[in-house]
Amino acid sequence: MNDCSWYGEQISAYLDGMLTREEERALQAHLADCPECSALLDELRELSEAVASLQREPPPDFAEKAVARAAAARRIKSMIRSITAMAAMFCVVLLGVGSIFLFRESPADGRPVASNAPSASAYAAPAEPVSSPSSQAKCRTFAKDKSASREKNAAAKESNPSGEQNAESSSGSVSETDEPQETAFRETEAAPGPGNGISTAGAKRPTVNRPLETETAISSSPCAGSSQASQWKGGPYFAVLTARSAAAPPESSPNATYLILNKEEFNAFLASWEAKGVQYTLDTTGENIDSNAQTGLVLFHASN
Amino acid sequence: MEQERELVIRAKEGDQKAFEALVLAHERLVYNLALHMTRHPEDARDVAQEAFFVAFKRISTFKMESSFSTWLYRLASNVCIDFLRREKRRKSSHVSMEEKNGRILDLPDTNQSPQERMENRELLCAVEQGMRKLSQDHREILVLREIGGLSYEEIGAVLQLEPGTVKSRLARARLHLREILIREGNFPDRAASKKTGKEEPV
Repeated sequence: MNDCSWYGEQISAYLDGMLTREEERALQAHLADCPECSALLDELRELSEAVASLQREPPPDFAEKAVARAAAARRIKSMIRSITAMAAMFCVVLLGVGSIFLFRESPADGRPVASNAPSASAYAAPAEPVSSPSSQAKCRTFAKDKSASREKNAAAKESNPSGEQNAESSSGSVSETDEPQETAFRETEAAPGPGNGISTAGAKRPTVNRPLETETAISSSPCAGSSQASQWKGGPYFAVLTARSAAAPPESSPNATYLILNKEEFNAFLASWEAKGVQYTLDTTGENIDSNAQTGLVLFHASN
Repeated sequence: MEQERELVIRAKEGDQKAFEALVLAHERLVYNLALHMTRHPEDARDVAQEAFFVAFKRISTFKMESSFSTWLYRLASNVCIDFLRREKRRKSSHVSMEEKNGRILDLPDTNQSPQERMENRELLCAVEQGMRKLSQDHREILVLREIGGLSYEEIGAVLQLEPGTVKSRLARARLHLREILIREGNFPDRAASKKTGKEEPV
């Protein structure tokens, strides 16, 4: 056998029909002369058949169980996904509700907003003329985005127009989470504009057409706008509070003055108008800026 | 083949019926591979179930670059190897392999005469015992070839071996099994008899 050990592999492959024609011919010639290898071929064939006969059928319910296990896993996975989605949705709702309360409680700090360049994009739009003493409440609900502004504004209209709320909004400390305010303040420091922070749209579009008597006072105190607003005799009065980024003051009008204010300043102005009974138009859509804001004092609420 | 491809596509999309059809088509080889690798019916059932479960979980990642059966058998082989590694770590403190081996297979009934059945039964018992003594690699390749009927090319794809290696490993596995059976007196060494000129015992 030892002399023929090389043929073991060939015999095995021969059983499987894996030899080339030449190899097969050579092996068959050897087998004819070598009874040992011939016997080995028979043995390996017998063993091969014996091993094949060791095959067993899987348990009858094998496939059923395998599929059931897979289906259970799929259900669990699906359940986990649903729970995750619901948890995410809950968090979003929670954040939304939380932010509403946060803004409602957020007091003003009276920091002026620079409007040289980027803040000019914060001009809001549309016009929904309002002349009501309840706007004190409205002033407290200005939000970072247009939809929030509208929603809060509407809610404020329906709730109460208490003067205490205005005081709270104009004299309290600034919420640390109110990023837009802080950003606006940094912009003011970095980019000095006319009027120490109360800027007109003049940097982009010349908008100051009358001397602004209120500038200094407003920039130094959030409440100053209330007292100074009464000095404005130009009328009529417009307040534009939408945060549509594309909105901008109309082209310069010789009869109008545009002020770009942050939330607190904006609120302070409106509060003072309310206190003095000034009739003004509150523009919440920005759609009528060009037609409504050609005369008088026009306030723009900077969104950021 | 095209039908299997269709089933795989549907299974990848989560079709439970398609997955069931794939299980039915391949359960026999997966189970037998597990049976001869684990050498115990209950372990084989669990390991084979695990193999299909893993396949179900991973089928979405199957890129269909190879045949599904190749992918599945390779996966099943890996599951078996993982099982054996775990077993090896704990076997010394539990039931010995010999005890476990004693419970392994029920031999099938055939239409043979009582004497033939007895002889066949003895041979099968001997072969089965011999298989258990083979190395893991040899058991695996013998099952894929003899029970699964896989070609050398398919075996190479499953075990990630070159065709030449498949050929040599398969030959060594067969020769080793033969040696074990002869050594234990369970198989007549006809080749040696031919060499020495002795008649094989009846």
